[in-house]
Amino acid sequence: MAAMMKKKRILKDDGRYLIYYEFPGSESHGAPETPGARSAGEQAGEKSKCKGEGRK
Amino acid sequence: MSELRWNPILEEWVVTATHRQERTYKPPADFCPLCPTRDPALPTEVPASSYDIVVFENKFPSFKPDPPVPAVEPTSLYKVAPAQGVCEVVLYTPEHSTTLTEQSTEKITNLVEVWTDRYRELGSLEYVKYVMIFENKGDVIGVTLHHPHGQIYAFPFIPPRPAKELESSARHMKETGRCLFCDVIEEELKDGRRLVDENEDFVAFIPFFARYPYEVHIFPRRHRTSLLEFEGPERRSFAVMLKTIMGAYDNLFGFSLPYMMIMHQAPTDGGDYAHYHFHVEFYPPHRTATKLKYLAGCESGAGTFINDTLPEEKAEELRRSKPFAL
Repeated sequence: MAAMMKKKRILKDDGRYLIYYEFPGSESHGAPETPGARSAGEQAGEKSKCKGEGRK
Repeated sequence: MSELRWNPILEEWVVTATHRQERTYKPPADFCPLCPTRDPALPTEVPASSYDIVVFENKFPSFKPDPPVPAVEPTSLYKVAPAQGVCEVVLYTPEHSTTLTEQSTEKITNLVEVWTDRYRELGSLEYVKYVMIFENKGDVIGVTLHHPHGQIYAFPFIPPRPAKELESSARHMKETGRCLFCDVIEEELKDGRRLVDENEDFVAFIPFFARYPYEVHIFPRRHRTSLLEFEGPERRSFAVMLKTIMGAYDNLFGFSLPYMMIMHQAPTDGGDYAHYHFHVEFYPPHRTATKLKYLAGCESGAGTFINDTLPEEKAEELRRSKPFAL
């Protein structure tokens, strides 16, 4: 992995993970800004109780 | 319901995944689940207002890290196993109405880094034996979401087609001491008629034995078994080659050409696959601007493809369709 690539992993409310990959120079906004996302650290060992369905 | 069912006749697994019948089917652009979340009241799969590249677990996976116990009992003839693995979705860009082809070389190089990271991470899981990175593009392929994205399947077994490649290349190595794929590359370079493009690090051609009219294979010139072995400028060279081939596809008939793009890499089951050679295979279903190649009786029933075209002629068409500058 190139040293420049940033990787941020979160757990969604339904327990699935999501990973933001950010690269310098791009117009990224990878940090979670809306409800429904907490860092993997915040949820370590915790099972989600919510079954958020998202917009489907 | 999700499980593996063994076919003792063909000696291969079939994945039964009934929940996939319910997956999201061609939503309007305003309700795309792969776009960033712009209104918290209408969350999408990505809880952010924008992103570079995102990877997440598929909501309707064929394989799961913690799969259910199979719903059917095995017999001495019919083996059954949990469908343990991982299915990921890779979002190339927050832009809805674009394609991988239209991304910059830098963006595609970044994507190559992401693919490499996913191969490494998923391949390190004890139960994952094979990581397949792929993209299905276009309605005619059966794509259900139009937002530009690819997929990754982390299999609990080595699927039949890669297994056959591994077997033939191991035998070739044993008999000749050479890599079968390196020999194919040398043969194609020597002949030249089926070459589509080449750069310092990669070669692209429609192989002598192509099954689809515009089936292009991309190989690194140097012997690499997976993305993990790419060095120095090879990732960027790979991105340039991908963009060139996809650009040629889009120029060919004047519309964004549907395709299946599959990366072939060494298995991740701990075996020795030094004889294997990383490559990408594109299968566009179009045989003309308005006609498709269908997998009909002979292809589906016999497993033998009928190619209605000559690879030598189709490669010439693709060479003429290449974009001038990237």
